Amino acid sequence: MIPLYPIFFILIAVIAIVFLYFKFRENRISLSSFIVWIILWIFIVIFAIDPDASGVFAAIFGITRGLDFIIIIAIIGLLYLSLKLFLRIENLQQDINKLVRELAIKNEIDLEKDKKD
Amino acid sequence: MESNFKISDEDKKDIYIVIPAYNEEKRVGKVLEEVASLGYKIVVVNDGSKDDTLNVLLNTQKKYPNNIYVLSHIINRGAGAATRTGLDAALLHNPKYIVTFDADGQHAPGDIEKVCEPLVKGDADAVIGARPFEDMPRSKNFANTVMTYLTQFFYKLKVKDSQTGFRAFTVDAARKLKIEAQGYIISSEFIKEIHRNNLKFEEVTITTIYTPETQAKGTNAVVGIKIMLRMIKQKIFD
Repeated sequence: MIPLYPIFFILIAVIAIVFLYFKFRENRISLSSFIVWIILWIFIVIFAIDPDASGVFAAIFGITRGLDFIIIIAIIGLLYLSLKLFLRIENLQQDINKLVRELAIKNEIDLEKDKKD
Repeated sequence: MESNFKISDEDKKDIYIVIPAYNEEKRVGKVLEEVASLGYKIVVVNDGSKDDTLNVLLNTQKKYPNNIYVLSHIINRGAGAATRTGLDAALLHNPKYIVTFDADGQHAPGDIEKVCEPLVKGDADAVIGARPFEDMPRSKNFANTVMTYLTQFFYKLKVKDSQTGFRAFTVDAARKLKIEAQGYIISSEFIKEIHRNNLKFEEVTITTIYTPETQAKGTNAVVGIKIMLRMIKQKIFD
């Protein structure tokens, strides 16, 4: 009998991939992140159907246990994500700075014009 | 050394003092009046203060309408961002010299002349007003000393006080500076830019007035660590 959780994971993966596909079609995400996410979900499906498969990949990287491999990949993925978020927030900060500074400078010039009139 | 030097009234008209102000309602009014009464032009930037700073600025402006320009950040963006806004705005007025000055009353307005002297004489393009560390309260002294060594290490320019808010530039020098800092790291970034642009540089000892209020802000240990992390980041990514 097939256990229930692989079906559950497959369902989520299919929904996620369809969702990603539409986002990609609307140009909301780049091709590279689209591919990375698809590969990620395919791996999740593979590991859900056959948990022992992770052992094969683990062996390639010289890691003994399959589960360790999954956890290491997950940690690396999360670190990458947080770095990306960090950089994005930094960029947002810079954008806000630009806006706030520009507004301040524009308004000063207007005040000056008022003075001359 | 600075004995009889006096800046002519003609030159004074072309000196713009940039003052970033964040939550300084109690002190900034006095600072503005003192500086304006000496005949300098002021560009003061309210950095999204939560207190009544902006109103204080506008009221002071009414007393010296020809000397004070008021700008206001809608939200707080940090000392660095406010200083940059002030610099950009000052440059629009085609000054000869630009001075940055703290709003909390820790600098003596009389020192502006001292700091501008090397610029006017043509001895320097950039001047930093160094605070004597002996006068500094111990906690500040330590943080500033560490920051100064780190600045030397990262930016390769030997300065006595890297974290001062009192600086002066010729307009050409000010135009060359590419400042991207948001917070207090701006002090270190000025040093870096002075070095990168090979500006003629001088350090002038200034008086620092320490009161309980002026000690509340500025470079303490936490700010120091933040600045250090940023310098490391810049070193790696730039």
